Amino acid sequence: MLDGFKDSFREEAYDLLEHLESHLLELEENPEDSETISAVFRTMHTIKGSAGMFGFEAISTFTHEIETMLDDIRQGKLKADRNFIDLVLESRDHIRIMLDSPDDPGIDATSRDILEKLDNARKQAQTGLPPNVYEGELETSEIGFEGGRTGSSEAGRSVPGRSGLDAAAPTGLTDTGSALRTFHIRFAPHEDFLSRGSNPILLLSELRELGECTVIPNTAAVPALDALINERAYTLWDIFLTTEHPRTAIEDVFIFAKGDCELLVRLIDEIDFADESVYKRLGQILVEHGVVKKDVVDKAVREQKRLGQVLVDLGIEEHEVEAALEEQEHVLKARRKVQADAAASSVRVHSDKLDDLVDLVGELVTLQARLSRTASVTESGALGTIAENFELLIGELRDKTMSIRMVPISSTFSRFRRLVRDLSRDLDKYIELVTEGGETELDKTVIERLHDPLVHIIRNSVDHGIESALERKRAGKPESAEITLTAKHVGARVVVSVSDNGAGLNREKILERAIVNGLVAPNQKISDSEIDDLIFRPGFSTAKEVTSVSGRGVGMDVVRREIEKVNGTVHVLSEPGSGTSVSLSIPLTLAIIDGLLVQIGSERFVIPLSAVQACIEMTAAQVRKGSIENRGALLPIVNLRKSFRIEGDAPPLVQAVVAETGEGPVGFVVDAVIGDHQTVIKNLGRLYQNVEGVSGATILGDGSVALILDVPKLAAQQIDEYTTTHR
Amino acid sequence: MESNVTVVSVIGDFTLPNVQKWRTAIEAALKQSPTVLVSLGLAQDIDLSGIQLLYSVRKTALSGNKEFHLTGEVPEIIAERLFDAGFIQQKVRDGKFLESGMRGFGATNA
Repeated sequence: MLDGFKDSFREEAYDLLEHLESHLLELEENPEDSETISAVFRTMHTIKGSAGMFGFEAISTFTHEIETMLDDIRQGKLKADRNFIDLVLESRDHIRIMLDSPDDPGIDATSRDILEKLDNARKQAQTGLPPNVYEGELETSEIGFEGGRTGSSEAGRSVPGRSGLDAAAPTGLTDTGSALRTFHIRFAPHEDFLSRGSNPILLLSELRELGECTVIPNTAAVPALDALINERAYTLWDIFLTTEHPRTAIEDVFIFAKGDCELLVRLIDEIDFADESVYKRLGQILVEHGVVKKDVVDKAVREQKRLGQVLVDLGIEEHEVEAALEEQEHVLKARRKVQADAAASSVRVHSDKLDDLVDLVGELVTLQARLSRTASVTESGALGTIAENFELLIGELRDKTMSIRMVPISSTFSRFRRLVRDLSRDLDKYIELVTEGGETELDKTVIERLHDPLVHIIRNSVDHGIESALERKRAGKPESAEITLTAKHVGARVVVSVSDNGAGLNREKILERAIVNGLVAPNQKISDSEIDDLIFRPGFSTAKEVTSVSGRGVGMDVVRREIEKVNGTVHVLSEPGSGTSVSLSIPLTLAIIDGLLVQIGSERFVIPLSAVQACIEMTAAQVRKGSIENRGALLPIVNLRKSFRIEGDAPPLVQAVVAETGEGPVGFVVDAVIGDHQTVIKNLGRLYQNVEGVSGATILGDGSVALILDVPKLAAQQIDEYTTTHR
Repeated sequence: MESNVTVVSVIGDFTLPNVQKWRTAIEAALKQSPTVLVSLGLAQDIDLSGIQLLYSVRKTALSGNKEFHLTGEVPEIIAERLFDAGFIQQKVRDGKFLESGMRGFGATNA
């Protein structure tokens, strides 16, 4: 039983370590961002607490020391400089090793070594650094104070100083990677706000879209009719917003009102799932707001009356008390809601169970195909109806099950930030990784298969693609380079691209090396794209030196091979001097695909439908010519009867299924096209796993097996023959 | 002759460009009757200037020993605007409930 809990802890700890790495990299970019500092602290705090609970004492002790240092950073006693980030990243990697191999005899020595380095760094940093360097910057931001409120002396309209609260950061919170934060926003439009054409209600409406909002207007300053000026804004607002969005999103709402209002945004709470204690008491909030002194609160408590009433009696603005009560209620409500949602919204399931579920659904899809076929053969109306309903339900079950295994690619993207950081440092280059489309979802098995190819591509990009800072300067480029990682859906596929703004491929060198390696004949004329494509040939590398990063001549050919294994294709586009982009096009899932069932003699095959562009009727004479015309272009054909050595004569009229192969469209000649087919992919087994041209198999409704064609592989040889013949 | 109750029915926008028109009407009603009711049933929009006018009238009425209340149905757009700006916590559609639900509307009289 305890082992089960320990496994759960490990899984959660791996997730937390991913978050930690991501937060640390963010912190490196924004070392004074208090929210990121808090997030790093909370993550470490959670790892420590859970490790202790599940008996991972070594991890608990080690993280306790790191946590202490992080707390110093949070309190502004230390600065999160690059050296510090390096050490915490090293600690993070070490915790990962401790999780993987808790019995490793070298762990204790490494722990001591890292802690000693941290201690030294702390001692070094403490000298000469003023205490509380972040004080006053941690929790508040203010915009639009220029000019202040003109001619206004109305009660309750000024924004009181918050210094007492500003320095107080929320403590001891649990990290979930996207914490919910509650902000107090005081929005006080200037008197001429309305006459300048601004509408505060629309701003408030926009603000509500960011999260759970409690909006409290203060109309105390609205005068009686004899003093009322229609165009003048008398109202101010206290808003309590619980949101996943950062502070900047709030400020962006008011961006066009900047200068026309007073705006105070301050973080007052982060949701702590573990903390069951109540939110701040009313008196504490008011003291923090700077509205009342602590001794006044203490006196009020002694009076034994309701605190809010006592404070109002003592002359505190009723609105301020109401706002504080609203704040209290809002935050508690938000916390309760998050706790309830967290309890109900998700369950952690081991991925093996999901794989089993997908396998079972695959079996059901196969069974459903048999049922449909039986219903069709027996011509039973009742059975036909059942089969149709069954098919609908199975389709829905299949989609739902597959969607459970879909995960956003951002989980993989985030790992590359560290990779780029470390590699660029090793090579003394300045490279920023930009990611786009991280929300794009892919089957988790596909994502797992993508990791290594992407590592190869990024390594190559950092090592070969991006120039040194000096070279970039000479070329008139900014010293800091950029690698952009993009993911987007294109039909039933996902295209993941790695683009850099480096030097682009050196075609001269590539060609030179290709001739030396015998890949290209001397004086052979080949196009730029064909030269670019040579980098995917086995054993090809133009690197002058073999570095630890890349350049051993393995890499890009492995990338193509790995991507083709998952029915994907790889393309490279390069512009000399401007950069290179490598795109991987991969199917959304590897478990069940839409296929086109075709027939040759008595054999049936499946062509992945996502690759199919058209079906064209052909005569035997056209087949003999070896090419086919489609939309004005002459395409090579692959005669599958010949490729698979199927005996017997082809019918007088056959079909060419035009499919995209990654190297352009190719016509695959078959006897007949049967139709679309929900294809549950089965592995061919060890004996047949190296058979080229076939990527898997599927079981048809009659129980027979159909092979799934590996379209790019089948086309490759044919294209070589075709281009040689027609050159 | 002074009537006991005067109802001012806001028709169209209760916003800055025409808030003066409604202010004049309400002020006249306050002079004319001890009880003034404002109906927002036919109002098509409201902004902060309209809302502030309601609060101001309420304050004026009380200090002059007059009664001032909201009445009639509340159009959806009006309820939405008041809700978005935090003046009400629920999108009430009846003037009576609107008045009791408006933050500080009672306090303005105090």
